[in-house]
Parts: sequence; C-alpha cells; structure tokens
Amino acid sequence: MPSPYNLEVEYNCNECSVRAERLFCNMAEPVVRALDSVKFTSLYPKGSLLFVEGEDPRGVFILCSGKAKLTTSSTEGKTLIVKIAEAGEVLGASATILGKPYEVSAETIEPSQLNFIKRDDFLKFLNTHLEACMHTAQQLSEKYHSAQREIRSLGLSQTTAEKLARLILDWCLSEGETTPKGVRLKVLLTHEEIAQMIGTTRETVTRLLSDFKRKKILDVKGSTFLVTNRAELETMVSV
Amino acid sequence: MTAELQEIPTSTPTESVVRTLSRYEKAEGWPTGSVLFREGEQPRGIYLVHSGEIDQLFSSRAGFSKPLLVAGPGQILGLSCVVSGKAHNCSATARTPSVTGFIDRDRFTALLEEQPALWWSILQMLSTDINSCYDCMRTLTR
Repeated sequence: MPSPYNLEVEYNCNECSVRAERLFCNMAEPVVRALDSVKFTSLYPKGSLLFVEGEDPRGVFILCSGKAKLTTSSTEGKTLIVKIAEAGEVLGASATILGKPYEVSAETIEPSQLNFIKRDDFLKFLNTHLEACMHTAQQLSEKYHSAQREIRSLGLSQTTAEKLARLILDWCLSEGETTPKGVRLKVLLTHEEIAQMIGTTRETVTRLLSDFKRKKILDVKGSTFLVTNRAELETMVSV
Repeated sequence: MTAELQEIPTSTPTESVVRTLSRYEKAEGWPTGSVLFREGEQPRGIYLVHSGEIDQLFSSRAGFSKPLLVAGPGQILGLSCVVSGKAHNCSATARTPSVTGFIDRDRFTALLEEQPALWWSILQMLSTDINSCYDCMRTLTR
C-alpha cells in the first residue's frame, strides 16, 4: 500500500537506515529506545504550520524527512526566513529548553515526516540521558553558527544582488547537481520566499533573476535553476 | 544528570554556574580595541564576560568589518565553537575596557565530564545565543 505523500515512513528510530548520518539521532541504542518511547510520528503535507512565533513551547519536532522553513517577523511586520531546516534537525529546541515562546514559526515546504516530543518528556529525556544533552548541544551550536552566517550575509552584503548571488552559491554547495551545462538546482521556494530569505521584495527578486538570465549567469525553467556561470556569481559576493 | 529542570530559563548563566566556572577561570583585562580571538581561529576556550562590552565583528572578503553582535556581563563567548569544535565565525574585540574569565578548552571539557549537570546550563546558554541572533536578524531586516 502506498504511504501518504509517497514518503518512506520510519516508525522505529532504532531501525532507521539514516540514523547514523544524523547529528541528533546518532545516539546509543538504549538512548534511541528511550527516544522512541516518548515520540509521536506524524506525516505532514507541504504547507503545514508546526508552531508559530510567540506561541508557548509545546515541545520539539525532529524532522525525519522533508524540509521546513523557519520564519520570523520584524517589528514592521516584514517576514524573514531565517533558515530552511533539513532532515535530521530538531525544531523548537531552544524555546522548549528555555520555556520561552517560540522565537520563529516553522512550516513544512515539502511533505515531511516529523517526530514530536512533548516538552515535559523532552526535558525528562535530556535530564536522564547525558548523551542526548551532548547531541542537543551540538545541534544548537550548528543552529547558532548557521544564524551567524545569516547575520553576516544580511549585515555585510552591500547590494541585494550580492545577497541573492550568495544564496544561489550556498544552494550550489549544499544541493547542486553538477552537469556539463552548469550546476542544476531544484528550488522549492517561490520568488516571495526567496525575497524573505534575503530581506527584500518579491519584485526585486523577479527583476534580479531576469538580470541574471539576461547576463547568461542563470537559466530558470519552472522550479529548476541552471547556474551556467558560477564564476560570475562568485565575483558579485564580497562576504 | 541531576540538573533541576524547574530552574530552566535565564538569559545568562545562573549564579551557581558562574560560581562553578569562576573557580577554574583565569581573569584577564582587555583595554578598548584589544582582540580576544579572531575569525577563523580554532577555539582555545570560553570567555565569561564579567564587565565591559565585547564586539563580535564579522568581516567581508573585501576586508571591511562590522560589529553585528555585542556581548555584555554574564554572557559567555566561544561556547558554541568549543562544543562543536568549529572555528570562530567572527572576531571578538573589546568595545570598552573589559574583564573576562578564561577557561581553556581542555579544562572546560574536563569540567563537563566531572560535572555533567553543567550540560543543562550549556543548553540554556546556547539557546539564548540563538535567540539573540534572531533578534539581530530582525533588526537587520527592518
């Protein structure tokens, strides 16, 4: 029987084939068994809101497969995507640990499997398993470093074109497929969402992508970007 | 682990954690403009800020730098790098005359092994650091 959203669902963490590759999940078997006993596995379609900025923390979500965008709003109501979370990340951990409202909202951008752990259970789990604490600390350190990279880009880039070039280069590094014609990227984000990643407007992103196409830096077909002149993009980036 | 979960949220290390850590620190004074660590360096340890303000400077390839985050009394610098073993993402320089307590990486790691309850405070501090980054992003997007 096909699974919902064509996802390969793994209900038992100890049997998960990718556990060893995941920073948080790669723990000793007894610890993973304890994790299994407190988590609830759910499947979500694209566009599901997991938690909202300002909401009291209910617990953490382990993103087993799929992707989610983490957004925040400026005081003027502008939405900023602070991160695209990938499989293996724990979402909502800092709010859950501090007992303070979620600092960001989380929404799936593709069908995803998530394991939810209620706040009390997660805190007890950390309290009982030192290894889980260490892995959570590593996750949080990664998140902190990633946030610092965003701050660097937002704070040091001198033009919006530079910010967009840097974003596309980051995608080339993380998920680009090298082909004879250039680096191929599957971009699941709309122009509006790309704008929210670099703190600009949808119109500016559309205009800049047209500029890049005209200069033969990039070719866009639907959700596929083909970076044909990566060197030119690199010359635009100073951070 | 024996950390008290009820004591959860503070934005800076709790007094008991500061007391514990300060037993192992080496106090250092920093005149304005002096550099605690540079971007790209491997972390040598953690710095507990006791007084003054420390700028966290981010540099561009073109060579200009901007202070985008500031650490003040009660905050710890270099924690995430020591935990992850990654190089510093930014440089830290004293904006005003400052005093820090330094604990080198090996001593800090040994301390975590001796007193695992400290991990709980580490999680709280890292969570607070992430939240200040989000605050900074909101400000930069204004």
